[in-house]
Amino acid sequence: MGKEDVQVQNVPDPKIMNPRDAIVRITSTAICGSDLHLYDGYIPTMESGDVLGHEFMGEVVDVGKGVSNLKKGDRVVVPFPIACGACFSCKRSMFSLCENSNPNAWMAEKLWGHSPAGIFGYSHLVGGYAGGQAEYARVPFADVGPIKVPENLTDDQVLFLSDIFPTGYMGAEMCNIQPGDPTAVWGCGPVGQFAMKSAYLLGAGRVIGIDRFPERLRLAREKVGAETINYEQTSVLETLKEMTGGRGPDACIDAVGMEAHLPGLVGAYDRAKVALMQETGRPIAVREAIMACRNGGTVSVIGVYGGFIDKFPLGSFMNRSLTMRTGQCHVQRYLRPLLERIQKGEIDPSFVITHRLPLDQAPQAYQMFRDKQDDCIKVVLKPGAGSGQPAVH
Amino acid sequence: MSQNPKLPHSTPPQRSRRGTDGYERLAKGLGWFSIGLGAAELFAAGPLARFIGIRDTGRHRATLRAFGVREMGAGVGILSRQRPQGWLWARFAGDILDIGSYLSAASEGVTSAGGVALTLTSLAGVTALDMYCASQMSRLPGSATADQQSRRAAHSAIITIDRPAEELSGRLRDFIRMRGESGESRVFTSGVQLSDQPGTQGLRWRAPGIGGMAVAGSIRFEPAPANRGTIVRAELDSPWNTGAARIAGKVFKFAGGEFVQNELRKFKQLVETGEMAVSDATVTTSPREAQPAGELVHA
Repeated sequence: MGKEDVQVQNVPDPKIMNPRDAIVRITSTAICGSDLHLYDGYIPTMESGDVLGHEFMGEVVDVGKGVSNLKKGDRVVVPFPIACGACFSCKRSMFSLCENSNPNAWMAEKLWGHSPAGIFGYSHLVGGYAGGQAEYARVPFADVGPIKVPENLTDDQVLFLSDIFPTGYMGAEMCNIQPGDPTAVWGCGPVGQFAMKSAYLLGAGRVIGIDRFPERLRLAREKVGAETINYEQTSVLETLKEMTGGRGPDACIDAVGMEAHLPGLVGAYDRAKVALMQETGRPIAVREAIMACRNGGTVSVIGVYGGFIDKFPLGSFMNRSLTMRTGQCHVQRYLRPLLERIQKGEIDPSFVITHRLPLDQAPQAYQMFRDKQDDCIKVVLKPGAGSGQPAVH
Repeated sequence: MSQNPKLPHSTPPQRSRRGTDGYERLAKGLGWFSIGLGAAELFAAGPLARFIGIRDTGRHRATLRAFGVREMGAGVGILSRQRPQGWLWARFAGDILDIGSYLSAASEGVTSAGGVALTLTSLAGVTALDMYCASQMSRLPGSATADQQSRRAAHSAIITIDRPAEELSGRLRDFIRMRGESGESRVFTSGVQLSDQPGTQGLRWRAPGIGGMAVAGSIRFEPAPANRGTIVRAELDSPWNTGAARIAGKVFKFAGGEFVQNELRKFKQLVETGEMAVSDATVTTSPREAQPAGELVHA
């Protein structure tokens, strides 16, 4: 209902508002790291009463007359960007840049120059759509976004097709990884884990995860097979040089975004700048990724940024011929190929889940996830599950 | 090097540097005058009130001091810019306010008939000078206002739609009529009238607007390069394309390029997707503060 204030309330059920809508009864939904940017007040244009959540799946319970590919009872995963499938961007598979799905495009144009697609539960800037941390959600352009998933796969295995698995995959894919390329990933949260896993799927030689939380570094080592750097214990730049023969990683992926942490003066500098509204986020990870990347390498930014940042090392970026690629994930582009990878057993995305809670414990879940309590890495919320159900690890 | 693209509007005729320097000197003079007068109003309100022939009351002193702050702000604004036509127009508006306020104060009682005559003559003179200088500087080539006018004339709203102009032409007419009937648009309001632009596929519209002031403009089509559909440009007729109208439009939520842009966006959505995007928080189609659907009830 405000900064750091999430509540579970009864709200009106969603209705079909346009012919291409569907209504989905949500069976599983997750809290994303980028939801924490909303929780912490870093994204403007949130209003009291907004429904959060952009990672969700469930059962279709109603469809508009313009939806012919879905029917009641279908089990679907819903991609977080809302895309019409017909505009300039969608025709080029850049679904998160849909020109037609953000009814508040005028707001986004003021901040960003042009508007990206609408997104579920992610501020009025990107549409003011009610999110999926709820029992039901209205899904616009349901004939384009949701993918039907087979019954033999569990919710936990396919839920993350909605965002974090494709986001991590796109982060690695944007680096044009060649066989054997060393790849470094800043942030070993769920998106970072999928970026590391995807880097291996795409042929990376060694993958290095950077974080400070032991449980996340351990997950990267044990489940992904990555090497890890704890940036509180060692210099990231020096260690990466050491690990790559002095050259730096070919691919550097920022899976942290605007709320990066760094001890010491630089971290304090960015905190002060944000407090004084001189920048809108702490771009510590992307700065370091640029400085670390090998000459001519690629920096891929999948961590979320909202506005303006300070001390961007453009000199390093320009003089060393780096390439930067970025974007909200074009999830619809990846749904089918990544579902096939799950079906083939190449990856089981459920490895990032540490907690499963009933939806009505969402306030506690947000706090636990934000504060990294109880080794929390990823929370899945279950609408309809009984209140008081203990946390499942 | 590629050639410069052809500008849609010719640039204003060049003026001699000598003439330009003259206006700039005059503006500087008005700037210093503004600061001097402002300082007198701010720091010597009582003596000044007596000098201009009105009663030296607490209310008059307070008004003079407030006007002094305004004058000094305008003076600094004028002196800090090479082409301060905006600040000069602000001074002109202030002059009108001064005259009105002075007449009101004088109607309560005059202490010096000579002071009143001198003050009114001075006010009239400086008002004329401000208007002259502001209007001349606004016409100078390269001035911000001239550039802005050029840009405003180019379009009030613009969008690219992935359809040929032949298809859009008829559909746009239907769309505007539909928006007028729906009562949801602040631009294409109920009773909107359409007419053809001879020789083009574009159209002109005229709608009653808000408060009886008609909102009118034109929309034209041109092919987008590389087979990317059609560029649709909308232009609002004067006075809706002026800066003041834009600000008023934003404040009072009527007309203005932003609202026309929103209508074009809705039209594009309808053409490309078959529906107009609405979210749970945007139940109407104009830019507005969004709210959650329905009343929230605590669990």
